[in-house]
Amino acid sequence: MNILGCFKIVPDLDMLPEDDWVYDENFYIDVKYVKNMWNCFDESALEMMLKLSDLSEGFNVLFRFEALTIGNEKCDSYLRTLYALGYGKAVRVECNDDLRFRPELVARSVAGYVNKTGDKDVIVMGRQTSDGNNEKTPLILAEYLGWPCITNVMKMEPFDDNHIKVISEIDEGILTQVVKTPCVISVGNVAESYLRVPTLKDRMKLGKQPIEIYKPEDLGVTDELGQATVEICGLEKPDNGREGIIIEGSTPAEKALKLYNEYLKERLEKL
Amino acid sequence: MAAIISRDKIVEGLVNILGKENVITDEKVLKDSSIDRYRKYEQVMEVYTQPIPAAVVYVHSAEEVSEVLKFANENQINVVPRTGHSAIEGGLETALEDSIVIDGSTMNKVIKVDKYNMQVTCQCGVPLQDLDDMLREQGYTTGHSPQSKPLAQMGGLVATRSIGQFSTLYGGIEDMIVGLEAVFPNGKICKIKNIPRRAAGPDIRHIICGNEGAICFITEVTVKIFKYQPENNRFVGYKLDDMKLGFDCLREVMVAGYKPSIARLYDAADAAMHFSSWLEEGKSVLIWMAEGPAGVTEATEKGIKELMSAHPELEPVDPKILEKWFAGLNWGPEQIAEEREEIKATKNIGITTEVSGCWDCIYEIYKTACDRIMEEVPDMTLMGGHSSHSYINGTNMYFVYYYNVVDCPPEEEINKYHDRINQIICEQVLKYGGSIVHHHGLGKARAKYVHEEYGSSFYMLDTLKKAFDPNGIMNMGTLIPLRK
Amino acid sequence: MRYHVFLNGFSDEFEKQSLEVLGFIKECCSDIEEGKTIIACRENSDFEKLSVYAPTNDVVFITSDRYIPENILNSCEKYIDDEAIHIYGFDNFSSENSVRMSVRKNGSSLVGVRNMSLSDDCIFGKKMIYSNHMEATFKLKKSPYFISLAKGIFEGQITEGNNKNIFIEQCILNTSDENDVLYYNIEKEDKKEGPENAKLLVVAGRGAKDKASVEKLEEFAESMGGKLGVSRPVAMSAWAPMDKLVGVSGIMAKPKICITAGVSGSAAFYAGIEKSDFIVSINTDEKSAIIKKSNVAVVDDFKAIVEELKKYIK
Repeated sequence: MNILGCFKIVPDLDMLPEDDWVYDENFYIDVKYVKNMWNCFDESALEMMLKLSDLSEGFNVLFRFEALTIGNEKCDSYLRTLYALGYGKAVRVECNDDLRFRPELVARSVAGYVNKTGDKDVIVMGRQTSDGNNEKTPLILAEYLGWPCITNVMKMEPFDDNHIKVISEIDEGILTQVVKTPCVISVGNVAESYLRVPTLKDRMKLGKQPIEIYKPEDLGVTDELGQATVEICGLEKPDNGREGIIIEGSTPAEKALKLYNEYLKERLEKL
Repeated sequence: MAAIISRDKIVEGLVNILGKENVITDEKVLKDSSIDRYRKYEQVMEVYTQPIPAAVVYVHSAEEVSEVLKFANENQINVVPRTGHSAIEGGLETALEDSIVIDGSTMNKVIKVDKYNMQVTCQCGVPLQDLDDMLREQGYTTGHSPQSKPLAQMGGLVATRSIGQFSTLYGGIEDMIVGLEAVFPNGKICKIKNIPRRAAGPDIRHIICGNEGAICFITEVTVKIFKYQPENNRFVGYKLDDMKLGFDCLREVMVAGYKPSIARLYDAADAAMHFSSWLEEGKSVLIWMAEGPAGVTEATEKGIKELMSAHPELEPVDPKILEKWFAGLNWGPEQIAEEREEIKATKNIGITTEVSGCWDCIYEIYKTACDRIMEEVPDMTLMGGHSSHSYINGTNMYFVYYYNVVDCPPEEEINKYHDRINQIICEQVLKYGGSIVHHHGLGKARAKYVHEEYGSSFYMLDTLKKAFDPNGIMNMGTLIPLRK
Repeated sequence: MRYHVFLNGFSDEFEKQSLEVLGFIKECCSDIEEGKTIIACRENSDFEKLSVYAPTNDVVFITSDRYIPENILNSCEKYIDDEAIHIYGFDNFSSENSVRMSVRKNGSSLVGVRNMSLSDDCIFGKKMIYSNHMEATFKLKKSPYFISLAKGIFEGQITEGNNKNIFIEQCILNTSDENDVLYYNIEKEDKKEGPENAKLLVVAGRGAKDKASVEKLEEFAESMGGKLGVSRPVAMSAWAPMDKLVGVSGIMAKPKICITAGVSGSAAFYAGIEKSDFIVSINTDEKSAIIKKSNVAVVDDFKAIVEELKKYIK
């Protein structure tokens, strides 16, 4: 079974100090000095793939993994990490555009690669990225490919050559289903989903395999096809209101009443 | 050695002194108090291999500390002094059965901010972060900023001879201490007064500073304060290929007589963790920051740039990036929480070991230790480090290493990996004549190297310990290893 | 312009979701013409009851024995109106149906919408980006428009006594379904509420001074349907079990309301409650760090304040 894991490298937004949430005329926030990381949902997806392989004993299914990302050469060290972890192929779609709100372009590129290679059974990726928060790419991809999409997935398990067991979180509880491939899997919240770390020895041995590089046009993505359907036109830093307003009053009774009436009553009712 | 009274009697005695509410015997609390971050992996896996203490007690005054120590001394009970619980070299492990952990975090009052004499006095349990935040609001700072700042408290910082990120200007905690109060095992409370300097015999503050709880319990600390003027800070940084050149550059700046507050050199592996968003793979990074009055910082920046212009191999880094990076450097509490989950999930663990050496051997220490570890230790996922504290005669090396814990129960992890790596580093440091401990303390993890570290001067340390702690009740196993 | 509404009748949260959609429509769609409500639900649903929550007079039920997104999408396609705004709720059903339908119909979609406004040739929607750090306004460039809502923003009410026009139709089934899904099982989640996912968290700090006061705070928390958490000094004094420890070495909570009592607010602790929507602190020390990190604070003994609060809280 051939599984393609798609990921994005994002800035570690928690490292950005409060005062630095400022933007330029393109509504772009300067994050170049904070360190990069795997987008957390994608990291879960990539680790989930490796776990699938860990669990495959006794199932007689051979899993082959590929990884794909879109971006510039800064992504290559991450692709090499995946090689060192046993991924069979690492692919980068060369692109220097601002991809924050371009799920169509991203999904077109992935679909282009899938159609070009023609042998993928499952595409796995996170439900959203931490910067754009579009929550769209896997859904759009499923539509482009005409494949079903299972969302909010927490776990995958081997089944047979043409099916995969997928466990996902839905409103009413935990849904377990065995689905026919091909399909798109959109990964949601997964507990303890850190990607394992390759040893330096594996990095030396496996990490040096060449990265396959494509341009969007090599994958049949045109400006027209990759066009965005929404456009950012405003940005604002919400005020968290942590002003430390001190409630005045001469007695505890007075203060408590004020606290309850002005700040708690309505909020408690809403819970 | 073991206590001469039973565990129950120990608890009873403590309750008589401190009252029931200050004597904790809850099993989980005791287990958590049997170790520190040296056994981070055991802690995460909730496997406890050390003797579980008889009680954790909270103290509120030097007098209470005195009573508890007298009781322990009379009954030969091992005590472990503690404040912020951020130690990472086993200093807080209860190595003997039925120990008492004396926790000073309840003594958390800032006693006096003396802006005229530029000094601040506080109890041992004052968190450094709170103290420095409070001072900065008033335009002052302690100048002390270790990575443990969000957790560490004043007593522990003095006890372990801690050092901060601005040490190249302000020095280590030993340069900041003005006066101290400490309690000795026989219950004697000693106060060393606050004065600018004196030549009335040996500097006895240094019996207390760095004692790691093996000689006395620190109850009060007075440190210097400095004007806080971050608006004058200047950053200078370069990318480079070669660590040897990096050490030479650090040396040139120190020898030329400049006093930047930060002088740092990251090797490629360590730099990749910090600067992944802008740094090319394989590059090392040099960073300086000048702090202080505007005229001084401007001159320091200019001077460093001039010196570095002699090295065409250096490629300048935008100072803005460095300033931003530095603002976010502190070991934030979120990262600690995240680290725990990450270790649990990946069984990948990161550790540091800090050493020092003169300019003529630091590169060899760095190079040979890294090479040996890569060669001899299995499952390494990262091996690197940085120099972050420079002096006129040398610098430190902060080794940073990560490994996967493979086929190994939690209780074996220390032996299979952590101690093995420590050993290689210590061996290389001793071979080239450096110090095996730069600022984390010897603790219990590295106490076994104390003889090699001290050489003939071990006599002085041993005599101090025996003189002040004749019954051997103070944090046994720390500084001087237990006889097995 | 006209709006249509798509609701998830399979969801346990159908009512809550519908009320929020009603709220959205009241707030953002007052000038827009009412269209249809399409509710996807099980065959044995109580249609009358569900229809009460429909924002429009015309209600279409699409029924199926289980929710399979592709089948619902196929069945809904004919209700998409090229010039209209299609409004969905806040759950997973909503985001997946709205986004996928927008691709099918060559329109534009936005997920997690907190506000909406119209101009002559497009619509604008507000939503959080950068992991809740920033609020952005987006222009949806192509009709038809598909909007799914952010949770917990809007509040609406049902209007009683309106007779709805109800239409019921069977969901289009993909004949290969049975072969595609070999096994399908939903296990009800045992949602055990610990402090980590409590909506209301009361945190006891060192200022509690003893075990009995901490227990009282727990009762107080539970009386409001909340949970107790404690700071490190409290856990380390064994006034509460270690599993209630909030902060970097314990629980990282994100309640709607967090009330701290006698907590000083160290950085290591604060990280554990930083994601709270609203923080109230009660502390005798006006200078303690927690005060500035709270939305509101009371400088007083928390015991007295809590006793007073109990009078108002049933």
